[in-house]
Amino acid sequence: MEQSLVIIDRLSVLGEGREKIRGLSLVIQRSDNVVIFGPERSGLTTLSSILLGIDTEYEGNAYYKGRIIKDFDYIERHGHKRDIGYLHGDYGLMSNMNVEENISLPLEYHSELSSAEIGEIVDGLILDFGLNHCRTLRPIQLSGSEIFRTAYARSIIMDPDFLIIDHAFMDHAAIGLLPVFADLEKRRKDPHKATLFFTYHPKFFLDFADRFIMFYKGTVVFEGERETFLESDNPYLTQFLRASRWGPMDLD
Amino acid sequence: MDFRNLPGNAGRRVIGSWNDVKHFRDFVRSILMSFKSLKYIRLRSLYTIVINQTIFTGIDALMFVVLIALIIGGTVIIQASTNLPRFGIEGFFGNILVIIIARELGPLVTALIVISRSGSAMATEIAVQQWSREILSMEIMGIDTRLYIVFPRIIASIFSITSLIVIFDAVAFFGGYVISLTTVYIPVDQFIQSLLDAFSFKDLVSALIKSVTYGILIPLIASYYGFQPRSKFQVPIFVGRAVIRTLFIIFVINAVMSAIFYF
Repeated sequence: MEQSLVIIDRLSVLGEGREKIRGLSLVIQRSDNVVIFGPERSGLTTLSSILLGIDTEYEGNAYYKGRIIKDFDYIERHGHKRDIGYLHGDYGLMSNMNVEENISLPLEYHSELSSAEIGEIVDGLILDFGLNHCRTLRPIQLSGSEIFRTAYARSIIMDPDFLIIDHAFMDHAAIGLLPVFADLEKRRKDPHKATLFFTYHPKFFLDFADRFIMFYKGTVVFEGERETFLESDNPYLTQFLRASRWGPMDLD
Repeated sequence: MDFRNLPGNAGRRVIGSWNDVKHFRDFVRSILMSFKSLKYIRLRSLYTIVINQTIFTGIDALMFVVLIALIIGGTVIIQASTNLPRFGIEGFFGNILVIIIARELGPLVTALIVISRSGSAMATEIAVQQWSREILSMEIMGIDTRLYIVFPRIIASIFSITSLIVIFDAVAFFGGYVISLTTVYIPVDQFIQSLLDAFSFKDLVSALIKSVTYGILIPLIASYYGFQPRSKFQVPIFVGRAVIRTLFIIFVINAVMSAIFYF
């Protein structure tokens, strides 16, 4: 089994009259749980789009499971997206589908499982994430944490090796997210799976991540394990965590 | 208005329209391209959408289509049966009904009902899904949205429009006949015989081709404009464009097809 899930090799992206990412190299192994953070316009969204195969205009290469992402053909590109679990802060639940239908959508579309088998998997997730009371409700009728749990259940229903959590989590009471935390903890212990968190609030993920990487203007300005992240006096990190105007980052 | 800018404005409009045509062509290409995904997906995920869209476009519109067909059928039959004898051409009664109802009004009025009801709803639904990032979310799940959203709507629309046109014609003829009995008397056997004499195989083929063409074009144009909005305020703009441009295109196509079949 390929140990490196993602390899970013000297990646540079130009756009909107600036370098969104500059010469970035990065490896994410199976079993890695990585937080990538930084101020706005530091390249987080760009990297997320590249990993998902949405953005293909760049120099350098991005590999997923040993294959160059931008070389995927039409079908492979869809297969690649299917293979990655992705949870965005907007959640993107289908407004015309109920909780059950939203969760089962990827399996209904992609898998060869029978409807009964899909039903069993969905039932399991609905119970795991405490959604049984609202399984027939549509997103408009759900609370914030129910929406989040539904979106999370949908993002892992294909049992992805690689899960990207993109600016999610921050607007909910932690108590409503306990089943999600439990699942992230389980993923963290699984040596075959990796999770990547894009966020502006890295400290929130201390319990689920082992590695922290800070971007500023498309380059890595800090990288370290959890302990280093907590104790480092890296001026970029210090300025970011203190939300201070004073430091090496020009935020105007 | 500054008339000196007129050539420039006209030029910009022409270029704008040409760009629209090119974008639409690219959209159609992307739909055709999405057929590649057909063999990799489970058709059951499309099946539910086809059923729901058929119910919405076909079954839910049925009463309205029947009502309009009755009104139009009754009006045409009363007008034809009272006015044709004045010109001594009452022998063409069946031909006039077939020409007006079966060849032209049936397909056209049905298409207008479907555009104003389902076309606008389709464009709105897709546009809302577009700005609320539901479509992006589907794409990120690896769902081929062109295939998943547009293709089932085309299938449902072809099936619904074909059925509605057949029902429209039948109701307009026979319901219209019953209504016309309130003002004029035409023996039923004479009425049916004049219709049978006037119908030709060409009429059936023409109606079928129109149904399929409208069934493809209405959801295609509605979806095209539905996919355009990038912000909430653009939703009504693109829905309006979807309805107006589909209406215009359907009128033009109806005229072109009639010309091809009957001139």
